[in-house]
This record gives sequence, C-alpha cells and structure tokens, in this order.
Amino acid sequence: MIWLLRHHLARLSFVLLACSLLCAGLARAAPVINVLVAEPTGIYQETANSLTQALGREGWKVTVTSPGRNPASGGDLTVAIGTKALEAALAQPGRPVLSLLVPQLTYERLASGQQQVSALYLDQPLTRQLRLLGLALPGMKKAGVPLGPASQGLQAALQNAAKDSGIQVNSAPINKGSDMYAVLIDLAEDSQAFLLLPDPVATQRSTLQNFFLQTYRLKKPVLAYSAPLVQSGALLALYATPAQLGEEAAAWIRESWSKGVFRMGEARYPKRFTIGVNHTVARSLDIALPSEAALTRQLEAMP
Amino acid sequence: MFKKYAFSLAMMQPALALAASAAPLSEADYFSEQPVVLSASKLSQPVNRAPAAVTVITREMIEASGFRHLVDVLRLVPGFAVGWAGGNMPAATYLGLSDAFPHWMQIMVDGRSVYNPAYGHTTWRGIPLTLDDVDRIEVVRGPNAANDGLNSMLGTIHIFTRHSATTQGGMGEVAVGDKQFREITMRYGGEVSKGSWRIGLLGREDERHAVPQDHASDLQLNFRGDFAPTLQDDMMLQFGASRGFWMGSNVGQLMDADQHTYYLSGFANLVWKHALGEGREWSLQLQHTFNQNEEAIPLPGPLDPISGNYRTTGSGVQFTYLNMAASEWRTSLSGEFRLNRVNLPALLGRDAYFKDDIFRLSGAVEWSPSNEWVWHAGLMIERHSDTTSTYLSPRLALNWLPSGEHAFRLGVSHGVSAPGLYANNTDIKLTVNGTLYDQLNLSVNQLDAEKINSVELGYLFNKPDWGLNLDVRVFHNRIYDIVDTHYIGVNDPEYINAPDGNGWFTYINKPEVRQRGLEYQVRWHPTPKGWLVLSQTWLSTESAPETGWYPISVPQHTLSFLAAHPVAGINVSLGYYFLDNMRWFEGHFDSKHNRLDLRLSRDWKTSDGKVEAALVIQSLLGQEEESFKNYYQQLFDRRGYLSLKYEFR
Repeated sequence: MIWLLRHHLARLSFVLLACSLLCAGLARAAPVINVLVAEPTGIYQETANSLTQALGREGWKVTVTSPGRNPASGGDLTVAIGTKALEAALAQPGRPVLSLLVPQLTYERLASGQQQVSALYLDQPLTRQLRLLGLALPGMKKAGVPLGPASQGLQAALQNAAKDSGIQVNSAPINKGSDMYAVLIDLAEDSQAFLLLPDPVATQRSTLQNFFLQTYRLKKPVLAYSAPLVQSGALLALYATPAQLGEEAAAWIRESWSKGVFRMGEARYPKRFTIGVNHTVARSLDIALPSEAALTRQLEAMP
Repeated sequence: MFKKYAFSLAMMQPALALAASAAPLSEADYFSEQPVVLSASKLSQPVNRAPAAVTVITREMIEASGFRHLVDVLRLVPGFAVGWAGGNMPAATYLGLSDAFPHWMQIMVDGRSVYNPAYGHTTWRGIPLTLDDVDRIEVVRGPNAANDGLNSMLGTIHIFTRHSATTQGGMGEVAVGDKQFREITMRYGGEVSKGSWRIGLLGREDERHAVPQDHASDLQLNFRGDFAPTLQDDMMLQFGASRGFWMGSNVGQLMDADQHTYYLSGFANLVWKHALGEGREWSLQLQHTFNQNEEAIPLPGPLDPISGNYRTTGSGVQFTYLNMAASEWRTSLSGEFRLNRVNLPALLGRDAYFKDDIFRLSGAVEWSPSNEWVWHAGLMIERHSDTTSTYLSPRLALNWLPSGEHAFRLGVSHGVSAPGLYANNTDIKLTVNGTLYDQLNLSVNQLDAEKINSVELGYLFNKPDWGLNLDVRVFHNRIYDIVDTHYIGVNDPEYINAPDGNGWFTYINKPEVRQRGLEYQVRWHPTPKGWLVLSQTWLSTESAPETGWYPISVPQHTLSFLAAHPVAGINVSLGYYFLDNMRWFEGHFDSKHNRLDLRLSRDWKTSDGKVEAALVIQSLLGQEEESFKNYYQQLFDRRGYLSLKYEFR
C-alpha cells in the first residue's frame, strides 16, 4: 500500500516536474515584440494599441518605444510603425523588422537590399481600387489618374491593375501643382472618373482645392485614398484604418512565428479595408451608389 | 554608336531631375487633414431633390453654341425667348408676357443682383462679364421668390463665374466676322499665397441687324480674386466696369437716326464664407452696383428734347446661415438690407434720387425622413419703403424618389414682384420752352405688388448607364394684380384732370393672366465626346378680352436643340432654335425664329497650352425676325465669324 502511494507520488512529481519544465520552456519560447512608433501619439499609437491588445490577449510580451526616447533593444521582432520608425529600425540590422503604416513606394526605397524585413503596406492594392470604381459606377470603363513625381513609379503597376480589373487607366504626369488643371482637362476627355493617388505634389493643399473644384465642375467622381479626402470632396475612398492595420499585423505575426523564429515572408497589401462615401457629393453628381456594406461585400468576394 | 549613347543620356536627364525633386511619400500624405472644398452648402442641390425645376447651362454648352452674347445662351432653356429691340437692347423672357424690359425674372451673377432698379429689367449688354468668365448658368423655372425675393416671380437666373484657381495663366482671343463684328478678349490669372486671381478685358463692336442704328461697341474690365486664409474661410472679391457706346435708344424711345447712348456700369462684390464644421456655415455678402445712361431723345419742334439719362445704384448687405449637419434636416436663414436709388429726371418728374429701402428675411427647411421623400418649405418676408408694404412669398414642395432613376415633384408657391421705382413714381411731361405742353404719364395710384400663384408637377428620369437625363414639368400659373398702363380720359369721375387738361396715362394693378404649360428637356451623352440637349415647351395663355396682348405675347411652342460630336479631329456642333409667333408688348412685329447655327472648331496643343480656331455660321436657314419694336423691321440674317484663341499657362 505504501509502495503504491510512493509510486503515485513519484509519478505525480514527475508530471509536475514535466509540466513546470514544459511551461518554463514555453515561457522562454514566447517571442518578445518590440514595437517602435514614429511618434507616441495619434495614428501611430492607435496602430500600436490595436496590435498590442491583439497579441497581449495571448500572453505575448510587447514593448512599445519610440526612436527618440528609448533606443530599440532586444526582442525577436521589431514592428516599425511609420516611416521614421522604419528608418530607425533599419539602422540597427540584425533582427526581423515588420513595417506598418508606410506606403509601398517609400518602403521599397528604404528597405531595398535589406534582409529580414517585410511590410504590411499602408496603400490598398491598385486592382482593388479600380474594381471598387467598377462596382460603384456602372458602365465604368476608364479612369483618369494624375501622377505626381512621387507616384509616377506606380505607372507599371497601374497598367497591371488595369488588366486585372478590366478598367482601363489614362494617366498623365504632374510635375508641379499648377499643372493639375490642364492635366485634369485632358484626362477628363476620355475618363469617367478620377483615381487620386497620394503624392506630395499632386495632392498638396492648394492643388487639392483646385482638384476637387475642377472634378466637380467636370462632373467626374473621384476615388481617393483616405477618410479626410472623402470629407474634402471625393466621392469614395478606399483605405485601411490604423486599427485594421494593427489587427491584421497581429494575425500575421502570430502566423509567422514558428519554431522560435519569425518568417514574415513577402511584403504585402492589407487584406482589410474600409470604404468611405461622401453622399452629398454622390447626390450632387446624380450618382446612385450602392451602400458601403454592399460595396464591401462585393469587393471582399473578389479575388 | 556615340550618337545613340548621347541621345539616351539626354532622355534620362528629365527623369533624373524628376526623381531628385520627388519628395518621398509618408503616412502623413494619407492621414493629414485636408481643406474642406466642397462643403454641402457649396454644392448645388441635386436636381431630383430640389424644390423647383432647374436647368443648368454648362460651359461645354456655351462653347458649343457659338453664341457671343451672354443673353443668347438662354435660348437653350425651355420656354425662353430672346429678342433684340436693337443692337444694344436685348431682352430675355420666360413664358413670354413681356415688353422690352422683362422684370419677372431675377438675374444674379455670383449672388449679386444685376437688375436695373429703375425699370426692373436687366441691361444685358452692360454687364461686365464675358462668356469666358462663365462657369455655368442655373435657371430656376417657376416662382423662386421664396428664395430670391425681388423680381423672382417666374424664376431666377443664377450665373456663376469660374473660380480664379481654374483660370491660371493667360488667354487671348480675336474674333472677326460679318456685320462689323470684331471682338477681342484677354484674360490673365495668377496665384498668391493662399489665393488666386484673374483679370479680364473685353473690347467688342458689332452691328447686329446691319443697320447704323444698331452699331454698338463695348469695353469691359473685370477682376476676381479668391482667398482662403484658413481652412474654414473662403473669400471672393470681384469688381468690374463696362462702358458702352450704343447707337439707338437704351430706354425704348428711338426718335432719331443719330440717337445714341453712352452707358456706364460698375460693381463690387465681396463674399465671405465661413465653415463652422459639421455642415454648418455662415456667409456675408456685400455688394454695390451702379448704372448710368446718357441719352438725349430729340423730339420734333417746337417740343423741348427730353432726356433719357438715368443713374441708379443698388447696395446690399446679406447674411446667411446654413445648417446641414443633420442628415434629415437642412435649414437656411438669410437676412438682407438693400438700398436702391434711382435718378431718372425725364420720367420721374424731378432731378432727384428716389429711394427704396428693402428689408428681406427668408428661411427654408428641408426634411428628408428617408431617401425616398424630401419635403421643402420656404418663406420670404420682404418690406419696401417705396410702397410701405410687406410682402410674403411662400413655397411648399415635395419630392418623391421611388428609385435612383425616377423622381417626382409637386410644388405650390406664391410669389410677388414689387413694382419698380419707375412705375410707382412716373411723371412724364412734354414741354415747349419749359412750359407744360402735354402730361403723358402720371402715377397717382399706390401700386400693389404683382403676384403669382403657381402649381407644378415635375418628373425627372436619370439613367447614367445610358447617359440620359429627362426633366419634365407641367404647371399652371395665375398671375394677377399685374401693373399695366391705364388711360384716363378728360373728366374721368375717378380721377382729377391732368394739369394740361388732356387725357393721360397712369399705372394700375389690373389684369390677370392664366397660363398652362408643358415643357421638357432631354440630355443625352451617348458617347464620351458626343452629346445633345433638346428642349420643348408648349404654352396656353388666357386673359380678359380687353387685355388681348397678353396671349399673343406668348409663343405657343418653343424648341431648342444643341448637339456636339467630333468628326475627324474637328469639333462639330449644331444648334437649332425655334420660336413660334410671339409679339412683345408694344411691338409692331411678330418674332418668329427658325434658326440653325453651326460651329466647327479645332485645337492644337502647344508646349505651354493650346490654340483653338473656330468658324461659326449663324442663321443658316436664312432670315430670322428677332426685333419687336416699331422702329423698323430688324432682321437677323445669315452671318459667320472666325475666332482664334490661344490659352497658355
């Protein structure tokens, strides 16, 4: 009887030991994520909050720092939120970096030739943008795209997106803000709507005012890339919110953690998106738009 | 080989320069706050949700029409008739019922009323405004007094000029043609910090009916500046002047072949809009307009000549508050004080300014409980010191939009038109050596406002897939208390005898006219570069037998058609305008138009802009009788002009 008790106690201690060893092993295996925010406020903080909440629910250790205050140290993965954060993270090579809230062209310029770096772009894929135009505007065949110096690098990608979406693209260069008027007149002749892409020259404040005034007069709706632009006069905008980007990045990070290392894979566009609609502009242009929910469902159903 | 290498290097240079100057994108480009450009109040109400029928004349239509005078463009609006009493004296009326001084339509340029407070009409030729300045014209068909007050009994014409940001760079155009037609237009625009500006100049000379009495020349200058000091504030300043030398009469009294007019007009207009956020904004408008007519009217001896001189000023300050924050409710409230002054010695009996202080308060409420229904209620309260009366102009309208394609509108409205200072104060005498010879006209009655009750039913069809828009309206108007001349015989028991002991004319509120009408406009855009606009109106008018001039002043049928399409690189547009017989009041001839115009144009791009050459042939089908006065029959026969325009940045 005593032998039996001893045997059971021995087994129990073995199980307890095994459990404690396993738990300790697991604790050591959980990665440490260092989130580097360009600024500890606004969109950066919003993205970081969304990311840390999603990862924190599963017991992952996440620290948030900003380049100016605490230098990034340690950790299995650095999540750089914003361009300045990406630049700071790349300055300290040696560990994997995931870039958030940085546009594709800027990311490619900064991360060119770097190892162990990936990104969830800020931009929405061009094909998705053109498809949204097609869904929102029946009979939509051609979109006019003014391209400033920074966005002219998207020329080839635009043509590929045109093939994928079935919406043709007329693009024209804008080298200074005052070109905008003439370019719009030219593009409007053969376009049913405009696609506005971010560009410091093409979308500078003074130009933007002219841009929306002119598109309204030309009766051409605009698909833009941010919520503020919908308020300003675009008919539609396609974008991902900081919260959506944070959550999607958390899911990607979880999937990429395997056998004690991060394998982030290729940089990619966000799967999540939000559609913004300016109903006043729609009414003024006599455009009967499907609801945001319907557009979202249809767009999500597309490959 | 070397040559090829050098060539490729040269090609690379611009690309390298471009890359060097391109600032990189950052997340700030996506998330930074942007200026609110098209706040709801700056956007026109969608036509299918508006409380009245609205026709929009676009810049595209203006250019394709080939018209050189602003007033002619109104031929493209259903129910409009445009006549020229002389080369300097055009008149445009909606639904007929007018003499050479139409005063039942309010005409506004960027919110500034351009009507002449003396006669209540618009001196179209004297407005310092070129067609190149015009962005679009919105014509409200049907009473709009609830919104625009004064003179808006049959509707309002809102002319909007182009924002100066859209006319940067320069433009010069020269046009020459038949009938002594010569015109030169120049424009230049630039940018300043947070703003832009434009200055324009026009010189023009023509002889519309190819007779010396029609010879007219104009010189006009105007300026527009737009300034946005903050994201919430938007300011516009305009000023301009126009100087005309016109043969014939500008007051409808042609007595001599050498009679002529020197006309001078000027204005200033300041509009400040301030966005309060969440769809709310206020605006403040200050405006001043003056008109001066110098015209001697010789009379057969021994009568003393009379003077057609007049001077008018109109000054106004208006404050408007708009609230469109809630999706269901939109409201507006507007208050205005306006002072009109008229000096018209020959017709008002003394060399003094007659004044009319006008206070206006108007409000509108729009309630849209769902996307299918929109209710509108509007009211204008207006007080004039000239008549010491307060007038109310209400409007109720309901829009039903069962789908995105179909919309129905039912509207009832009551409008008033305050009598002009001339009708209320007329005192016209013929003298010999300063002694009274004949008292022709004398106001002895306190005139009441002219009024209209109107009911309308509208239908709009919009099919973007087909590029098709249809706007139909049926209506019934009862226009009453119309101010008209009344002859007072000698010893009329109701009136005292005139000072000269003879009969005389005065003004009274008397006639009533009932009008039924059906009108439509189709806009079709079948191809990206091809379009047409077709309008037709049928009218039936009744009045008492003793006022038979009203029905015959109304064309029973009008039609206008304008189509444009490029052919082999040449932009071709064709305009057809038909006007059934109508006789303007006091006219001796019927006007009847059956006019076909053709415009061909071609443009070439240059390194910094474009050059456009155009040929316009008007009245291809032959002569058109467009005059209506009893001077002589003035015919608009076939004519053409060539123009060359260069625009650069």
